[in-house]
Amino acid sequence: MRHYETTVILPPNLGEAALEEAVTGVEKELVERFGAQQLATNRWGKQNLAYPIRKFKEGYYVHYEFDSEREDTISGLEARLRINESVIRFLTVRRDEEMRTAERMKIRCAKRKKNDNLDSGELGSYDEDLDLE
Amino acid sequence: MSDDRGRGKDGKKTFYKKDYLFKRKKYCKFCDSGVAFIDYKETRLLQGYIRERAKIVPRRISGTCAIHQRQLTTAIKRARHLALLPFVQD
Repeated sequence: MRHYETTVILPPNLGEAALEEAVTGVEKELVERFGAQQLATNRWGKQNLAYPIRKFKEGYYVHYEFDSEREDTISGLEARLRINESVIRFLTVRRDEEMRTAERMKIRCAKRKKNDNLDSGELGSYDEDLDLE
Repeated sequence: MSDDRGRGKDGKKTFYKKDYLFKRKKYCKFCDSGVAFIDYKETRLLQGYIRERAKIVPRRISGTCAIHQRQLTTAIKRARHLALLPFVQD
């Protein structure tokens, strides 16, 4: 099971109905076509873009979080998003591996803190936890 | 004459570089606050690590540790792709 995050930017000038359709359309495709599970949609709403994309200065951000077991989920989804005219930008990130690194990082940070607090001049035992990545 | 050290001809104190240059020890702020993962969605945080021209602040300036700097870099690049952060600022 892999955990993904996809952010999609939609143009700001879509009508309310078209916007709704675009947002739910992606949801539907994810769940029905690509077998996404535990889909959570988060609308960030209209935001200023840091630079113009397709001459738009604003974008409507939608953030999807989901799990999937299938291999073709992301390739299929991205192919669909690329075709979709009302998607000006998207980004998919695989989060499960990053979460795992984060767990190890937490341990590493805690260890370092402990070593610092001890304030011992001994050469640190930092080397043990360098098996990151 | 040992107390004349550091004084010029007229008796005024001459400033050596080391006299006023106080070097603060750099440390990784992420390690300090125990950040386990730097997310591209936290634009506020990332904004502190890009320069005026929107370049990424190097490790030697910010003091960030290697692992966190690597995370930071990918986070900034992802945020740039989503137009949350600029590539260039003019």
